[in-house]
Amino acid sequence: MDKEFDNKLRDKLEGFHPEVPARIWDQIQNELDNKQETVVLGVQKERKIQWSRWAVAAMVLVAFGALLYNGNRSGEVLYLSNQAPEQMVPQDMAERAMPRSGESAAPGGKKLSDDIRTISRVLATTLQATERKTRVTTEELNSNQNHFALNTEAAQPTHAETMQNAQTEPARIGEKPMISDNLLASSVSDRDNPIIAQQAQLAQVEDLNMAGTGAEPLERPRPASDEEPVTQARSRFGVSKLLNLMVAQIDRRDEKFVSFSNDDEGSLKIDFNLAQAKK
Amino acid sequence: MSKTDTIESLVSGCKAMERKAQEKLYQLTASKMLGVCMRYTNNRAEAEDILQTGFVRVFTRMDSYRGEGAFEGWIRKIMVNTAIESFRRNKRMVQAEDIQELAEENTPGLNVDELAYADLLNIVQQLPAGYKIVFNMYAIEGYSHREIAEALDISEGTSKSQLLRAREWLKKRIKLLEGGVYEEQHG
Repeated sequence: MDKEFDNKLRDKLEGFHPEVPARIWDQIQNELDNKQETVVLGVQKERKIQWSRWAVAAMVLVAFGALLYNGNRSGEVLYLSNQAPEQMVPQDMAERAMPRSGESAAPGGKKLSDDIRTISRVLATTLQATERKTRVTTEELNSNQNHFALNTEAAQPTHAETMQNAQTEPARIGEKPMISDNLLASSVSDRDNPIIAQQAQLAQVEDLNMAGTGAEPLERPRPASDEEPVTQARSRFGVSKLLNLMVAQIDRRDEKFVSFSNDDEGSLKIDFNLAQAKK
Repeated sequence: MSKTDTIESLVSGCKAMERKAQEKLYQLTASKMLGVCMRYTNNRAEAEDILQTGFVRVFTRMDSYRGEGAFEGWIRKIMVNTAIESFRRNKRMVQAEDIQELAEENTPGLNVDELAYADLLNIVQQLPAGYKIVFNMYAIEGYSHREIAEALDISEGTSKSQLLRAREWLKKRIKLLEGGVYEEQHG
């Protein structure tokens, strides 16, 4: 009885299809447009957040990778143009030493190749950290100017000219390493002796000539204290600045969310600007 | 193009949020869905509000339609759920009485077929809110008392008592209307 009543009512009511006002469709369209805008904004915001997360994760990975890489390095540094590390140090020292000594500075910029120029510039920056140590040696070199000039052909303001001289005078090059080798061999045992240290520096300058000729430099024991500051300065320059460059590519605001720096001991520091993260 | 192809293309178009497909779907089903909404409300304006909210949900939740069952039935279910939400938000269930206390009243001789759509709908709309939603869900949409109880957050006993009272209420009103019609026709 009740079922029959329900069915009759349902059949009757199902056939009722009232006319729908046109304004309802307009209102539905407006509501859909508003919702789509909200969704698009939400998706953009979500993508931005995801991108930021990936960027931060990548930077952290790079930072740790760089730390591990530098931590595991044995101290041997690869240089462009097959130049040994010691070649840069005397050149930098020579550049600073020549004006003080009053020797005539030959124009050397024309013949410099681009990669040597870049490396010289980079090393000039990185060696600021080790300037105190090298200055002592430079001053000692100045005091023994005649000896220095004798071995470096008295006019060697740049590495390029060194190379040129080495090429034009191959006969002398064959003699110099023997002298420097002898000097450095004694420097291992007498490292604390300042005179012998000077001679060691001179031997390094001679090696510069060797590299310019393409001849293989003579192997000799090298004091660890000379090489370590150069490596530290290089990593301090390279890692933090490289990471900051990466951050600048991603975060183009004046104040970055993440910034990298090195302290005096060479440790990499990561600074997070949380105020930027909220923007 | 067959009817199935039309519905499938409409569904895919609506899933891609194509406005033309949405409008086509709306034109095909809006009138029928407004009839559904009007049974759950007291007046046309309230039904139109539910229709609008329901269609926005249809278009924004198209991805949840998996092609299982009739597409029209899926739309209808969204409309009914929207009406239930509106009821839960605005109305309170009429105080339920013990189902045993309700004695079924015999009202023979009702002829629903002769009633006009508008008159019958008017009677249904005048049902008290609790009676109306339970009657619609059970008698028209085919929900069980358990499903109604869960949807409206009431007991199954309350659902049953509301249904019985709704039937009695409707029978009395229809009888009155038929008597009036009869009196107009024969009196």
